[in-house]
Amino acid sequence: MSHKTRILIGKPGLDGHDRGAKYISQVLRDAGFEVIYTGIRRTPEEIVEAAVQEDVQAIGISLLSGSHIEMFARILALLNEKGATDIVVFGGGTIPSGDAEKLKKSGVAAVFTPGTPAKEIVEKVRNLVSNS
Amino acid sequence: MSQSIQALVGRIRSEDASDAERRRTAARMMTIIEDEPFRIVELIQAVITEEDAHSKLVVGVTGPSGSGKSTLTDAVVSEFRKRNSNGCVGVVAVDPSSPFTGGAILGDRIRMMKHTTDPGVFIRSLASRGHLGGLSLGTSGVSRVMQLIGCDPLIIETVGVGQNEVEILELADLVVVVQSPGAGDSTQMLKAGLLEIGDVFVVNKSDLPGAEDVHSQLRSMIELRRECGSGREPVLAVPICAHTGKGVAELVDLLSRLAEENQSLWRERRAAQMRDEVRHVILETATGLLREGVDEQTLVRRVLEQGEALEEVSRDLVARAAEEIKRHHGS
Ligand SMILES: Nc1nc2c(ncn2[C@@H]2O[C@H](COP(=O)(O)OP(=O)(O)OP(=O)(O)O)[C@@H](O)[C@H]2O)c(=O)[nH]1
Ligand SMILES: [Mg+2]
Repeated sequence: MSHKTRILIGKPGLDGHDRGAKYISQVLRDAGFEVIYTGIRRTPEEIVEAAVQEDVQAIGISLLSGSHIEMFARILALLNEKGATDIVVFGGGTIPSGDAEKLKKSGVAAVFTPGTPAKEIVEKVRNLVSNS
Repeated sequence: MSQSIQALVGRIRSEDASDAERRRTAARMMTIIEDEPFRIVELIQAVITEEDAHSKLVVGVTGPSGSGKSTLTDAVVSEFRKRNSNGCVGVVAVDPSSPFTGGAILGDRIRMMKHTTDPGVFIRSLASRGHLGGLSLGTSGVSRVMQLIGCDPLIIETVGVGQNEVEILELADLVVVVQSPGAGDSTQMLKAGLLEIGDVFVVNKSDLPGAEDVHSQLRSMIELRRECGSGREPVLAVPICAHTGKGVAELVDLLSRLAEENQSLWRERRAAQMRDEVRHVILETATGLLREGVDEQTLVRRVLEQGEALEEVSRDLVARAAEEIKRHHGS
């Protein structure tokens, strides 16, 4: 039957710029994914609990502020706590390349910096969820 | 994906399952049923002997796109939670899939995010997946899972509707139609099938100009309906401002009173509903089987070019399917 991949997009942090999160939501929708868009200023707790209730295969985090390392660490820890480590986490935003490497080592599956072509994002995400 | 529904039901009910595990298992089951709606049969089989596998109140929330269904649902959930801090409120919210890509952006939940970390609220977003009628094929199954984990009341928000999306009638005990100022005049309301399916009508965005007009238009249409004496007798709720919560307590009073009054009536209806759900999937599955390996274009040509009777072609199709099934099951 018709299996669809569901992905949650959220934007933690205090700033109200949701352009990146909305952009990625549309890119993924146009590629045939079902996107649960949760909006700005989300806490890691909200993101992870919503991801569990929605039973998504992946969480995409859009971040502009400098707090990405702690933010991702908290999300990964919460997923672990809830026994939901099969949910893939990826991120995007103005993340310095040094930090991106650190994030990947800590369990973030992919990091997209501004300017990554839509096609590349879609391919990567599709890969991630098909392996999960 | 071939986990048995029965095993999952067992896991949810198991004494030693933690709350987190129970929620995750329920969410998993919802996905299974969303992807394979016919498996609602397994769920029904697993709970059929139980009187109380059904919530006492299933509210359908419908109305034009943007009238404030999600925002109102959010406010109603808060009110129910305030009144019963032990219970669990469930929300199933359906948004449309893109007819072009099959993808969807599900944005109802964003209006209800403040409830996300409340362990007494469970929210699930669904895409319509090409199904017309205001819901998705899997909605009835997902609603059953919600009820299995004790969500009561359960609120089902339909996609923003125009005129023919009236499927919610089959799932909900009470259908609330949300209108708002700026969404068309009374003729449009009259045309819309919405007028016929509503048990409760409510004007949202009472803070905006024009709200009173919509309210009084609704009142006269409801009176008109009463005079026609046709079937349901809808109730008009006080206008609401979902943003501030004004009028929400009154709406919840009304819903609770109607639930109280109609409980025994609904109990009978639920049995019929269960049979209907199974009947639906039998027909869906049969249609699928009929199509298997059939060249539909040939059928079209037989009708259009060779002038064969529709009835004739259909009978052939069914006969062929019967042959096929015999061959498969070697009887
Ligand atoms: N002024 C005012 N705006 C409101 C009120 N309730 C909702 N809105 C706004 O109306 C818009 C649509 O609200 P939603 O709750 O998303 O409407 P909906 O009916 O669920 O929309 P769909 O699911 O897309 O059909 C949002 O911008 C809300 O902020 C209200 O009481 N007053
Ligand atoms: Mg909505």
